[in-house]
Amino acid sequence: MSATRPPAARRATSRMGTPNPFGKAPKTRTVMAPEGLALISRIPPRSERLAAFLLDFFLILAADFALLTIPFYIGDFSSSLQWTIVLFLTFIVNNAYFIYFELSWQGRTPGKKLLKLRVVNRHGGELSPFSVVVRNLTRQMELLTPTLLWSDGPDNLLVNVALPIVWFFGITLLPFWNRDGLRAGDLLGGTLVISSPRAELLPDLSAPSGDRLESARRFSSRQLSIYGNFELQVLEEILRKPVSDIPRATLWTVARKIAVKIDYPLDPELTAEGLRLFLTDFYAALRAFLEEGRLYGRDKKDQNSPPASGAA
Amino acid sequence: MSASSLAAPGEAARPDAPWLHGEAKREAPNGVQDGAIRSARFRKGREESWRRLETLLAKLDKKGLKALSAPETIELPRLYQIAVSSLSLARAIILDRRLLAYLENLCFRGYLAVYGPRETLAEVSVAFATRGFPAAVRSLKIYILAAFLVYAAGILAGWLQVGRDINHFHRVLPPSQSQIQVSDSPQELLANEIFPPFPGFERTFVVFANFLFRHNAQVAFLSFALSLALGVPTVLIAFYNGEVLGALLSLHAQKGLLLPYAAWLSIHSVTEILAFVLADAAGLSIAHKILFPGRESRLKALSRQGREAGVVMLGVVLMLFIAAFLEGGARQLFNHTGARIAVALLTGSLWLAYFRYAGKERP
Repeated sequence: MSATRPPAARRATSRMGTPNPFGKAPKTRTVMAPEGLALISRIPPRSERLAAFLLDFFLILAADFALLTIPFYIGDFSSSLQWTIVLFLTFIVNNAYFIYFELSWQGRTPGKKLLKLRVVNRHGGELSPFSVVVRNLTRQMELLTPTLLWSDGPDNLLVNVALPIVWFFGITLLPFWNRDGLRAGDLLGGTLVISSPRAELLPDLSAPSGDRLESARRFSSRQLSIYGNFELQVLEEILRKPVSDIPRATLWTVARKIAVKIDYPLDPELTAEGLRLFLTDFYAALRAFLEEGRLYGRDKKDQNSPPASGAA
Repeated sequence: MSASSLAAPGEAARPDAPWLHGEAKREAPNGVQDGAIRSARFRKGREESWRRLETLLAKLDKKGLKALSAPETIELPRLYQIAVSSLSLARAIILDRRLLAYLENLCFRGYLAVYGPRETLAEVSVAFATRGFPAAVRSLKIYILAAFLVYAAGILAGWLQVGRDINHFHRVLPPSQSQIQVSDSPQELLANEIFPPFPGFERTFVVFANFLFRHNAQVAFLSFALSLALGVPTVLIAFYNGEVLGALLSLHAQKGLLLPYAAWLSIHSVTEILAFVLADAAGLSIAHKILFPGRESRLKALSRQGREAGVVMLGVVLMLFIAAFLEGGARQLFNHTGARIAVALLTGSLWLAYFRYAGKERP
């Protein structure tokens, strides 16, 4: 299978494979793009799947309700012919809704679109329209089989009582029993539902504005070889926060900690703005240093790892 | 697409690319050049094409594939490939968390757009009817044979049981579920069951056909769905359906009505029973893959077979739709044994020809 689980050790890490200092890491799964690149997708929590389904279900119910009630107001509804046509139309709506939207909205239904979910091919590559058909035909069976069997009455203990219960727990609740939240329909169709929220391209912190070019602080290799990728990215998250969110006291704590560690003479009189400039300069220099190390195959994960560069 | 955005990934591969020869440019401290560190320059050179891809993706998201002009549809996969190569480079080197997150996301969205489903519902329907369905049926040959044998065994069992003692009929089909009784005389059967007066177009072609369709589709779905229980219920249901059929045939044979009853039955049953056999075969193929996945992993074998079986099930639903029209309407309309047999033969040979030849690739 080309879609592989990240090994256990990577599960607690973020999408970049570096430790995520900010809360619980989202569940991910890689999908192999035909270009040979393993793309990382986020597995949505089951609550999002359920919410999307309930939304779609509500829309279908609303359509059925409209189909079943509107004819009452526009004419004689006693004829069984009209009744049958309406029933047939609801049959079409109920069965074609998911298939139609997942085909024409690229793996999304209105509910999925709202929750930013998508259906993709679990094995990588194009999402076949037949996969879409299969995963949605199965949906009816997953949900309705227990109720159909149950509603036949308790004539047969095995078929009308035991089977629906086993079915409900084994098939209907299947998404709760596997890590990727696969329904029986996903198993049969070879599909996977992933979460694809949009990420913004934020400004590069290392790119200083014009007049900072000359005055940017310089750091020695020895000073830069103390910290690793993890600390760099923690610093990035701090600097990315809105200016007003970080009081001078916090900036001072961070800057002083760094200054002491790398033995840099930091002016205690610096304003919040000045401290921010110091941190930005250090960030840019550290990033350039660590990235150069990576370029030559010397990766320093955090401050406890062995040195990234031969210079240290 | 502008020339500069196309040049961006090429730049990285050129022998004089600063990326690959960072060591030679030692003059600036810490890889800083023109006031920007290396990864900032990497970003600068490609950002335009990323933004362009983002614009196209947003357009696609909002209005669908048709919103893109012809040049844009050519541009999209190229921009996607630029983004993918940016990502693989960035993953190896760049430490800007947010930039990486952005590229991961952009590439994934590009991947979804480039490899998303392209067909419309109409195109899928045509492909399904002309190629997908008959091809999927052909791939189930061995399972169809198995399901057919189970059916035949059921028919034989029903026929033999009722043949030995006509009163065994209600052991197969309880009186509560049967519209006919053992005590019915041949005249009653002919007048009420086999040649009833035509109740009108609406009641037959629409109301009754609709009921039959929904009922039969449910039975077929159930039989298929139960294949997940390793196929045992599927086989039992197929056998029982055959048994009922055999019992009914035997009952009518003993009242001297075998031919008119068989004609009455076959006008729709050729299509209906074929559909049931296909549903059972699809279910059996799933059960087979669950038990014996072969060389592939169980999940992969299941999803591959599942797709085939799902295609067959969709076809089964359509066949049952046709069968319902024949049963609910045509049977009442053609109040003549010969005409009914003719329709049965015609539909039977049409189905066979369709499954045998439709969508087959010519050598």
